[in-house]
Amino acid sequence: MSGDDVIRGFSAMGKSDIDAVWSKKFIREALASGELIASEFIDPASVGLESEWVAAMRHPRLPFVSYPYEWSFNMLKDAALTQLRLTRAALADGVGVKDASPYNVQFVGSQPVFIDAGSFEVRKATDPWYGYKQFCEMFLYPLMLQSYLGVQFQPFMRGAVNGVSPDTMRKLLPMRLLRRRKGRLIHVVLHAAAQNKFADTKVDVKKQSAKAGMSAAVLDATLRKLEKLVGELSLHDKESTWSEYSERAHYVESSLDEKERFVRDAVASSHRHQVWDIGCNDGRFSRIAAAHSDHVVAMDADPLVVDRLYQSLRNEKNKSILPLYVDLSDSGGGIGWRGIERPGIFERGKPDVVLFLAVIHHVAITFNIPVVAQLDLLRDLTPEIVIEFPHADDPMVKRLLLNKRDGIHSDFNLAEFERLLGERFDVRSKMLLSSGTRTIFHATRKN
Amino acid sequence: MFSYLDAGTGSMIVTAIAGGVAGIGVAAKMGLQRFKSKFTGKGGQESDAGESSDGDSSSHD
Repeated sequence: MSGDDVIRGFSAMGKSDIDAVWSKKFIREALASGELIASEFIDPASVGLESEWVAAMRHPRLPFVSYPYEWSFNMLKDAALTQLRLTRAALADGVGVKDASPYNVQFVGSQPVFIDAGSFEVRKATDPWYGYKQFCEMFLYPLMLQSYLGVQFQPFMRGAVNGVSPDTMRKLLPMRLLRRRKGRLIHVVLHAAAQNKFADTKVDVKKQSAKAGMSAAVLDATLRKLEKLVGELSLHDKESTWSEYSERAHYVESSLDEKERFVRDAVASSHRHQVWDIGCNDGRFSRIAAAHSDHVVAMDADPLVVDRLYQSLRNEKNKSILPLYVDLSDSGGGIGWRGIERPGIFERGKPDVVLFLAVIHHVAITFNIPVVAQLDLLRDLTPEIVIEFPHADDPMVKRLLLNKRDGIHSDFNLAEFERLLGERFDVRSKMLLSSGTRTIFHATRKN
Repeated sequence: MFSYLDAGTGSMIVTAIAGGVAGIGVAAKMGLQRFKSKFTGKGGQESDAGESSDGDSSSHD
């Protein structure tokens, strides 16, 4: 990486592929549509690469790197369709795509972008599609879990960097007589059986597939059918805890207006590079922040809420707000090799400002994460916060406390909050919202 | 970067089957090759010289 760019080096072997591939029509079209990340060949020596790197490419740095376990259903679905579309277009141009990993797709705002120029290779007419199994494990099965069973896929994807295996999926997804689970028989049952049956590797699959008459036409038919199958998978959940909720019910409209003004004044005081909106709900405040920053990462602990936000951003072709599913009470760890292959969310960005609106009481009371721990997180994360604190007599706080043991959250009150906040941040401005039970603060970190 | 690919015969056969009419013949042939290899010990590994398999021809990445 150098400055605002990312440099990719190619070895001699990689260079022959990339040279042949880069002249193809599908690459030009994917670059023009933005589906493939902008890429420019440069002299490897000019960026200090050693002589073993015989070619190099420069890409713009992504605003924020996100992972499939942070995406909502329709984000993973759109990433899957991007992968399939590119694989098909490449195939038509005689190019193979080596893998099918959602980690090769990133989102710029609501737009999926394929980032791995190294995935392309010149293919022989009879080569198989090596990415099929990976496509099933990391795109198709997670989407099926959600669409057919109503089970969130995110914990599976976070639990295993390689996704859900055919054998596991077969055990998870039972047959249903009345409403057929499309794709189950071939991609799950047969796939698992074939994996088990032919699990040895002492076979030259390329030769075998050539001998059997594998062709681009066969693979195109497979990819086309997969596109149709994925296209038909949908999110059936219509309601979740927070999707219908909106803390807004607790505000009189004037309260909301004044809160918007407060947030706008705080964020607009200078131009921001990156803003995080933790607990974004429908993205109302993310949009305000987006008007005064390069990009916003909008996080919520409810994947359905995130999905709705994603869909509305996608309809607007928004490229500055990235919606992500992040549960603050269970976030931050890296996964994969040594836990650093895919680093945790806090390692991937440095927000200039964090909006923490109508969140602290949920995390404190429902998840028992002390207010002081939340303020420590914010101090470590960002130099500036806009934070809303509902007082002990706020209707939502009362509701959250209803079934908790008496006295367990007796320190959840405004005076104690202000004391803890003041130890870590300097308060620039604060305002009692007209509901009378919430105070909002704009604060900067103490040096 | 660390993506793991198992281009095993099983997945290859299913890829062909998933192609429907276009792929069914290919899948059948791949299956047949594997079936033969159970008896001959070499059908799955094409070898012009007809040498027996000793496991060193399995390179893919």
